[in-house]
Amino acid sequence: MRRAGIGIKALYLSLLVILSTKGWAFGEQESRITLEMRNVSLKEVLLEIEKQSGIIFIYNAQEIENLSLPSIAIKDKSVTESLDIVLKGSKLGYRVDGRVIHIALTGGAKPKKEAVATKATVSGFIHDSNGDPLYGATIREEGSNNFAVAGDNGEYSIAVEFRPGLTLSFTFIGMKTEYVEVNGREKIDVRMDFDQRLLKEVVVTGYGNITKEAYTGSASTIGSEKLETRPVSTFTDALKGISPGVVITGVGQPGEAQTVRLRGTSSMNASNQPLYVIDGVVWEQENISGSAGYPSDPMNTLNPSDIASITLLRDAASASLYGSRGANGVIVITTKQGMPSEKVNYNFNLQTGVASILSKPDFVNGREFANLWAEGEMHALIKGATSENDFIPELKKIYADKQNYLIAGKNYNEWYKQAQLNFNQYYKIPKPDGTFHNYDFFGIDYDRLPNIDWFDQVTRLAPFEKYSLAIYGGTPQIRYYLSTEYFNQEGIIINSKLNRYAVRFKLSSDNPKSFLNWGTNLYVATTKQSGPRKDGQAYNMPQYAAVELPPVVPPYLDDGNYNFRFPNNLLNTNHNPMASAELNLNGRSLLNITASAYGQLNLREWLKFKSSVTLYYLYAQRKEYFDKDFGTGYASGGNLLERDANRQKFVNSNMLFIDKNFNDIHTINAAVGTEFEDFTNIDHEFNLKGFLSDDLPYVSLGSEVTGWAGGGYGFALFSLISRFDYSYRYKYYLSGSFRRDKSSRFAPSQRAGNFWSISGAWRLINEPWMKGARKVMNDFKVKTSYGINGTLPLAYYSWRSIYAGTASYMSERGIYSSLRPEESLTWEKNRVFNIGLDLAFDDSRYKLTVEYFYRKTSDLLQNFPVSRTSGYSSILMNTSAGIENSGLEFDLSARLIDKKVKLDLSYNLATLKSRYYGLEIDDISTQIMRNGEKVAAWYLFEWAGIDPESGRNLYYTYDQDGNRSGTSTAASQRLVVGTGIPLFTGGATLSLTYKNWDFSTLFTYAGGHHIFDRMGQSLTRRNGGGQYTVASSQLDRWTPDNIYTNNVLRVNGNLAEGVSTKYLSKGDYLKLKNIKLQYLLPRKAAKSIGAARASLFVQADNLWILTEMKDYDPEMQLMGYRFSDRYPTATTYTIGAQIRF
Amino acid sequence: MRIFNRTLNRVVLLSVVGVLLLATTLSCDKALDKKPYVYFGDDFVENSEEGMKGLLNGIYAKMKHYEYYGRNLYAYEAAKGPDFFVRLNSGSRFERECRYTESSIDGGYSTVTWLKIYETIRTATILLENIDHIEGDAYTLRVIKGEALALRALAYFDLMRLFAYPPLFSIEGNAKYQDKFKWGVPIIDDVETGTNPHKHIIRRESAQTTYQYIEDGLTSAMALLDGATRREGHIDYVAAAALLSRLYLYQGRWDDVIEVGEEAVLRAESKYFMITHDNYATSYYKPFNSENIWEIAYGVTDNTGGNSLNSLVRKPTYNNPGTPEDGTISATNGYAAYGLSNSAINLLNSPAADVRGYLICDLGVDGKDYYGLRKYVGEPYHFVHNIPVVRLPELYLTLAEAYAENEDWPNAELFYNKVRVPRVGTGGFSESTKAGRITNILDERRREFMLEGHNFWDYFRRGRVVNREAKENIYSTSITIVFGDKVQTVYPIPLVEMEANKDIRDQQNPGYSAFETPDDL
Repeated sequence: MRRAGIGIKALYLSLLVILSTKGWAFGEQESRITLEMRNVSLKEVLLEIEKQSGIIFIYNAQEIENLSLPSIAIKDKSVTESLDIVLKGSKLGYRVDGRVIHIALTGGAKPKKEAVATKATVSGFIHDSNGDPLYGATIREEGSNNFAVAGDNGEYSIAVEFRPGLTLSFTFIGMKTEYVEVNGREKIDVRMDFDQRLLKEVVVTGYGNITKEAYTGSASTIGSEKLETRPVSTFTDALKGISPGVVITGVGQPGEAQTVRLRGTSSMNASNQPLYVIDGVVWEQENISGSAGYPSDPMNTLNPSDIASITLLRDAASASLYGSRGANGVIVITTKQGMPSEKVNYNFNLQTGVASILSKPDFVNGREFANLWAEGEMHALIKGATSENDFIPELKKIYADKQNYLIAGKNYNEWYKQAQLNFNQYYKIPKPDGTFHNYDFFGIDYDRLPNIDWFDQVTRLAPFEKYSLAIYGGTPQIRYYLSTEYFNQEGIIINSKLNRYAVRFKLSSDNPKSFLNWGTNLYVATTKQSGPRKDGQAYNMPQYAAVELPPVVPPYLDDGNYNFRFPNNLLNTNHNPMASAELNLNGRSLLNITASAYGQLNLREWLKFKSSVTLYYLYAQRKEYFDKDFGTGYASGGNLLERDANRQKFVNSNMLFIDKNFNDIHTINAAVGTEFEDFTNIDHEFNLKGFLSDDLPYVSLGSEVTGWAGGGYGFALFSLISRFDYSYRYKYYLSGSFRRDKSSRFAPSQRAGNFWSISGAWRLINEPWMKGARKVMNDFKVKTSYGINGTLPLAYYSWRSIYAGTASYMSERGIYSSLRPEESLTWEKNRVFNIGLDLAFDDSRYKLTVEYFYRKTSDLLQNFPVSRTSGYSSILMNTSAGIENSGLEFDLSARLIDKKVKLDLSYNLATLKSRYYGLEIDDISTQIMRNGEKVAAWYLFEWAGIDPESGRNLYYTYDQDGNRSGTSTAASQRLVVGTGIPLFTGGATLSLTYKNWDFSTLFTYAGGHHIFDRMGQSLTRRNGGGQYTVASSQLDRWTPDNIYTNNVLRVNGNLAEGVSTKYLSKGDYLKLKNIKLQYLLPRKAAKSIGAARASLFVQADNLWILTEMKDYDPEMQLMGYRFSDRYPTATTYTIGAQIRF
Repeated sequence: MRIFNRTLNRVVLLSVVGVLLLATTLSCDKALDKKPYVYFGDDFVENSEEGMKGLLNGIYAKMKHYEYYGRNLYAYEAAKGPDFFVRLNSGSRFERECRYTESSIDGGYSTVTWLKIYETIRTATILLENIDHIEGDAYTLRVIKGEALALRALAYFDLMRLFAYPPLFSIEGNAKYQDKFKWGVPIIDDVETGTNPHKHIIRRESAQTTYQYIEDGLTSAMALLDGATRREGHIDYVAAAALLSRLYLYQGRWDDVIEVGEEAVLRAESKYFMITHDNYATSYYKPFNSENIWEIAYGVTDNTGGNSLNSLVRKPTYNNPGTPEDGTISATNGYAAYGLSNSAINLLNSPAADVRGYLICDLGVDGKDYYGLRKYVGEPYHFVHNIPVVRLPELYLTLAEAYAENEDWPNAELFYNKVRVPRVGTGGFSESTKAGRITNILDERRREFMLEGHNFWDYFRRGRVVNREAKENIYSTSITIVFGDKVQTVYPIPLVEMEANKDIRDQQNPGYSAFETPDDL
C-alpha cells in the first residue's frame, strides 16, 4: 500500500497535522465510520467521512455539486464500505490511492474523437513551489472522464489523444488547480502553488493552536522559508520588514542580539524586549557573559534552520496568556518535526558568501587633516597670545593683512609656520629604535605625510558559510527529526566571528488513536564568538579606534612592526587596534543543552491531558587576555580574565485541553493548567596578571590574582493558566484567558498577580446576507480584544533590604547598601486594546489586514530620580507614571500577476505614537522624559547656523510666548525637537516567479524620526578637538576669509560643544534589505545528481540604503543616537543550494 | 477491554485532577522564597557585630573609590591650584576644572563626586543608626562607632571644600562674609531620609550649621577612639584630632587649633616620626611609613587602573635615586595630564638642599619640556598606591600657623622646624614680619602637600589670590584666581540634583546660573 502526502513541505504538513484532530490514519481498514445524517449534500457526507477517517477525497467539485442524500445511516463500516453506500445510485466511482481517494464520474460519454487525433502519452513531474513532488495529484483530461494519478516521486503519465485545445488539469488537495494546454507536448512538468483559501494558517499561542480564521487577536506567522536561507546568525534579523509593528535594530557583529520591539516601548526600567517562547518554553534571553560590552547572547545558540514557524503575538488576546511577562508581546517559535513518510528524507542546505561594510564614515585624508590641524593650531596660538575678548577682532585683522599685521610680533605667515612646525612635532613618526623621524610635512617631506584610511585598516571582506542537514520521516506511530548545523560567520571588523555547531533530535509518538502519546526534543549547540566590544568607548575596539585615529598616524613602523607610540596619548599611546585584534584574546563560548519530554493522555476524543518537563542548561565562558607588550596588558605582564557561568532552568507544565464541536454549530476549545519555572544562574570570575609568555594565557600561569568574583541569582514563577475559545457557526467567536502568576521577585504579600483578556471576532463573510459579496470577497472579519498583562522588574530581590557584601578594604570584606528596599514593588501593568479587520478578495488574491491598537502602561517601574544626598541617584519603584502607545497597522498582500509569470507583493506599514503620562518631574538628558512628550524626544538647543562675524555657533532665542525672537551665540533654551524613534516603519516584499526562476526583493523603511550624531559631537565634527580624525564635512569651516559656512572656527583644544540641533539629522530611510534570485533545477537535472529536489540561489543582504546621513545605517540603533563605537552594518553576499534526497 | 479502558480513564482523569490541585495548593510557595547570593539582608547587617564591621569596611571602600579619595578629590585640588597645569586633550579629565569653566549644566566631575561622598555618608549613617543596639564586644563596637563618626564628619568636610565656601566667606562676622556665600550642604543624619528622599525636604544647611555638625562628629569620634589600638588603614584618635585641628584652622580658631593640635602631637610623637633627610627619596612613598598617621590603603585587587590618581597625573618613572635614569619615563602608560607649574618647580628646588626637589620627574610628553610630580609611586604597579589623608607634617605646620597667628614665635618656629629641618637640613624663618613668617609656613605647606588635597584650599580658606601661568588649559582668563570673585572656585550643585530635588533649586552656588536657565555651553 502506498502512502500519500510524502514530500509536501514540512510546514504545510505540520499545519495539517495540527489542524486534524484525528491525525493521520493510514489504510482505510483502520478507520470505522459511523454516521447518521438527513438532507445532506454529498459533499457534507464526504467531509464527515474525511473527518472520521483522516482520508482525503479528491473530486471535481462540479461533478458532485448538486448531489444530495435524503438520509443516510452508516454504522461501524470501513471507508470503502461506507463509500459504496454513499455513492450507490450515482454515476460516481472511486479509486483508493493510499490515504487519498479519488472520486469521479464513471462511464460517462467519451469525448468525440477529432479527425486529427493521435494517441499519445503525456508524462511529467508534478511538484510544489519548493520542488517537492506531489504524490497522488490528479491529472484530468478536461472535458472527459480520463484521469490519472501521480505516482512515486510525483511522476505521472496519462494516455490522451492529441487534439487542438487539449487541456490537462492538475489538482491536489490544498493546491490551486493548474490548467495546461498540451499543444502536442509529451513532456509536461507542472508546478502547483498552495491555494491561499484552503491553506489554513494556524496561530501558535504556545498554549494551544487556533486557526487564523478563528483567531480573535493580533498575530503574524512567519514560515521557515523566510528564515532558512538568510545569512544571519540569529533569526531576529530575518524578521525585519516582514510584519507590521515590529522594529528590529542591531549592530553588525556576528552573534550579537538584536533589539526587538513589538508595538513600541512600554517601560522605562524593566525590559522592553518581547518574550521568546521556543517549543512552549520561555527562553531566557538575558546576556550571560557578565559584561554588557562583551555579551553572550543565548539566542545565537539556536539553529535558524530548525525553525518551522515564528508567530508574533502582539495584543492582549494572546500575550495575556503569558501574564506578567507578556506586556512586550510574545515571539513563539516552533521547531520542525518529523512526519510520516515512505522513506527517510535528507535535506541539505549549503551556503557560502562574503560580507563587507555597508557604509563607512566619511573622513578627511591625510593632507586635509594636516591643513585643518595646522589652521586650528594657529588659531589656538593666536588665542593664547591675545585676551579672550580680543581674539576674534585680532584674528580678523591678521587675516585681512597677512603680511603686515602683527600679533605678539608675528604676522600671519609666521604664526602659520609655527603651527606647521607644531604639527610636524605633534605627529612625528616613530622610528623602530625609539626615536622619531624629523619630517617637515609642509616642506621637503611633503610626500611622506601618511594617509591612512583607518576604517579600511580595521575592516575586511569577511567570509561566511553555513551547512545544515536535516533527516526526517516517520510512521503513523513514530516520527523523527534529526538536524545538524555548522555555521561560521567572520565579522567585517578584524578578529570578530561566530561559529556554531548544533544538533537537534526529536522523536515522538502522536497517534491520536493511542491512549498515550509521548515525545522528546533534545537540542545541543555550541557557539564560539570573538570580537571587540559591542559598544563602549574602549581603546581595544577597532571600530572606535578608527574614528579616533587621524589619517596621519601610521599603524606600522618602518620595519613592519606595530606602532605603539601614538601621538599625544591617543588611545593611551599604545592601543594599536591592529595589534589588539591580532594579539589579544577575546573569546566567548556557549554550550546550550535543552531537553524536554512530554506525555499526553488522550482521555477522550475531546479531552487531553499533557504534562511536560523541560531542562535547560546554558554554560558560558568568557576569556579575555591582553598581551603584555602593549595596551591594557602593558606593564602588568599580561592581563587575563577567565569567567564561566551556568544557567539552569526547570520547567514543568500540566495542561488539560478540551476541543469539542457540537454539530458544527458550537465549537469549544479550551485549556487549563499549571506551570512552574525555577531558574538559577551561577558564575565565577578570575583576573590575573604577570604572565611569562603570551602564548599560554591560563589561570595557573598567572603570577598574581588581581580580582575574583562569584555568585549568582535565581527566580521562580508559579502560574495558573487558562484559556477558552468558543465559536458559533464559524461566524461568531469569543475568547478569554486568565492567568495567575506568583513571582519570587516580590514580597510575599505582593507575589500574586492576575492577568486576563477577552476578545471576539465576527466573520461577516459567513453571514447568509453576505452571499452576494462572496463572489468577490472571500474573507471579511472584524475582531477586537482587550486585556491586561504585565512586565516583571529586572531586579530579582528589590523588595528586600539589600546589602552588597562585595566591597573590600584592607583584605577584609565590606558591606554597603546597594539597593533600597521597596516592599510594595509589583509588576508593571499593561492594558491593551486592539481592533482589526481582515479582508480577502478574489480568491484571496488580495488580502488586507488593518489593525488599531492602544496600550497603556501603569504602575510603571521607574528608576525615579531622587536627591543624591540619599546616596542613590534613583530609586526603583512603581510610580503613577506610564507610557501610552497607539498605532495603526496595515498588512497587504497581493498576487498582482498570476499567470505563467507570477508577481506577488506584500507590503506593511505601522505607525506608532508613544507618549509619557503621569511623570512627576522631567527626566532630562539629551532626550527628555516629560509628560505628553514622545518617548525618546530630543531636548536640544536649536542651532541657527554660524555667526558670520565671529565664527561661533548661533542659537535661536525665544520670547515669553515661545516664539523665536532672534539668535545668540549663547545657547539659552532647550526645546523638544522630534523624537529618536520612528513614527512609522514597515517593509515591502516583491517577488517574481517565472518557470523555475524566483526573484525577490525585500525593502525596509522607517521615518518621522531624527538621529543625533553623538559621534560627530564628541569626536569627528568638533571645532578643533585637535587630535581626533575629522569628518569631511568640516572642510567647509569659518575663517575670516570664509565667513558664510556651516562649521565654526577651528581652535585646537576646544572642548566638545554642547548638544544642539546642529548634530541632528533626519532618520528617514529606505533600505534594500534582501535581494535574492533562486533557480529550481529541472527534475531531470536534479535526478542526475540523485536528488529529489535541488535549488540554487544567490542573494545579498543589506545592499543599499537611502537616508540623509549618508555614511550611516539608522537601523543600527533604536533610540536615535549615532554612537562612535558601534559595530557597523555588513553587506552580505551569498550563494547557496538546497538539495533534498 | 473496554470496561478496563473506561476504568483506567477514570483513574487517570482523577489522578490528573488530583495532581493539578495538589500542585496548585502547594503552589511551591517555598520555592518562591528566593534568597540573594552575594547580598546580605538587614537581619545580618543591622543586627550583628560582623555586620557593623562590614559596614565600616564599606565606608572605607566608598572613600577609596576613584570618584572620591582614589582620584577626584586630590585631582580637583591640583587642577584648581597653583601647582599644576592640566594638559590639553589629555583625555578630557579635569580640563574643565583647570580652565575654571564649570557651569550649571556641565559641572565637570561634580556630579559623580557629590554622589560618591553621599554614598559614603549613607553607609556610615546606617552603621551609626544601628550600632547602639548591637550586642557584642563593647570595645570593638566603640571603635567602629568612633571611626564611622569621624569618617562621616570628614565626608561632610570634603563636601564643604568642593561645594561650599570656606568659613572666611561663609560664616557671618568673618572678613569676607557675604550672604550669598552662606550655604553649607544638606545634612542627611538618618536612614529614613536616605531611604525615602522623595518624602522629605532636603535643603542645604547653613555653613555655620554644617561646620558645627562636622565639629560635633569629630569631637564625639575622638571620645570613642581615645585609647583604641591603631590599625593600619583605619582612622584613629590622632587622625581624628588632626582633622579637627584642620577644621579649626579653616575656621581661624587658632586657640582651638593649638589645644587639639598639641594633644594630637602629644599622642603622635610616640608612634610617628619624620623621615630623615637621607632616607626621604627611598621612603617617602612607602605605604604606612613613619610619617603617615592615616592613609587610605589600596591593594592590587582594588583595580583602579587607569582611573587611579597616578595614572591621571603621570607615567611610570625609574625611581632609583642616584642612577642616571632616575626620574625618566620607564613605561608609556598613564595620561600624564598634570604638569608642574614653574612656580611649583621653583619652590621644590629652593633651596637646592630641599630633598623634595627629588619629586620632580619627567612627564614624558614628546617635544615638551614638561615635568611631573612623583608624589605617588605605585608598587607593584604604577596605579597601586595608598592615599595619605593625615600625615605628621600637617599636624606640625597647622600648629605652626596657629602659633604664628597668635604671635607665639618660639612655638611657631619649633613646629615649622619640625618639618623644615628633616626636609632641608636647616631651620628658621627667612622672614621677620608676621605676614612674612606666615607666608614661610604656607609655602612650606605648599611644598609638603603638593597633590595631597591641601594647597588650593589653603589659598581659598585665607582668601589669598592664586596666580597661575598661562599654559595648556590655563588660558589668560583663569591665570589669576580671586576668591569671592571667580565663580568656579567651588563646584556647582550638580544639575541632576537640581532636577531631582526641587527644594534645593534656589540654593545654587553664587555665580552659577539658576536652575531652568542654563548658561552658555
